[in-house]
Amino acid sequence: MTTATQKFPNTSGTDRESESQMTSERRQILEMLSAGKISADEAERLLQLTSSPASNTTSGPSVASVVTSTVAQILDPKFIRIMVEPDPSATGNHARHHVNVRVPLKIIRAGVNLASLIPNDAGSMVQDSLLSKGYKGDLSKLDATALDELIEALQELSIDATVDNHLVKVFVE
Amino acid sequence: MIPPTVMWIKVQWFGIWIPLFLIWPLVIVLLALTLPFIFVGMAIVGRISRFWMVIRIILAAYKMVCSVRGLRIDIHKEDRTLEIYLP
Repeated sequence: MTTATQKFPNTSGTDRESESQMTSERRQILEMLSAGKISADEAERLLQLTSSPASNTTSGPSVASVVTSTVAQILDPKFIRIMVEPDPSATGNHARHHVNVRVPLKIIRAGVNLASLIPNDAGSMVQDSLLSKGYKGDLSKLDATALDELIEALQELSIDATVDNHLVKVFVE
Repeated sequence: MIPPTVMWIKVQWFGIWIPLFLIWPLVIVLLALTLPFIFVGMAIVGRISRFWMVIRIILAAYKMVCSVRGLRIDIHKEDRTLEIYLP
């Protein structure tokens, strides 16, 4: 007499465990979406990752680790990216620029730490110089708390614009 | 925290990997030679209490240099090219 496990190998304990794990990952993704921690696009990307056929294979990194690292990447971006590409739909004999700049976000924190050590006299000179160039912010008020808020706000930054027949994209990754 | 060890720079057609790991030991030696003079100079002008500020600025500058790792700049405009990459 054959048991149910022998007749249907896919319903073995390991597979049920894997299915349960995938369900908990999907729930985790949906909870993050409802909490507003990730966007709909990011949630879709993560859900595709959990439901992809490759996720059922035993070789390579587990789905959980891939999802965790992807979530960590989304919630803790490392770089700000600025891309400028010629608009393919645009016509004309204008100059075609390609710009691809990737700046580590750590520079902002390190820069503010360094700026906080500038003596008051030199700081006011920097402030005057920035004012003359049209920057009206007060750098002396940018402390660690404000910096954390700034970096958190940058996580939601995504700019898509068309300028002079060029597509400009600014986002964090 | 480790400062960038190499830097790729390309201007027009000329590209080169710069071995920054050869520069950092020289910078450390230069700092080690200069700091005692700064310390003595500050002691002479009665600003010895500010010496810690100098050390803090050096450490902050070091962190700044370390945080540059991962920076990538690619700019192409018709026949002009500028690439900078710090892996």
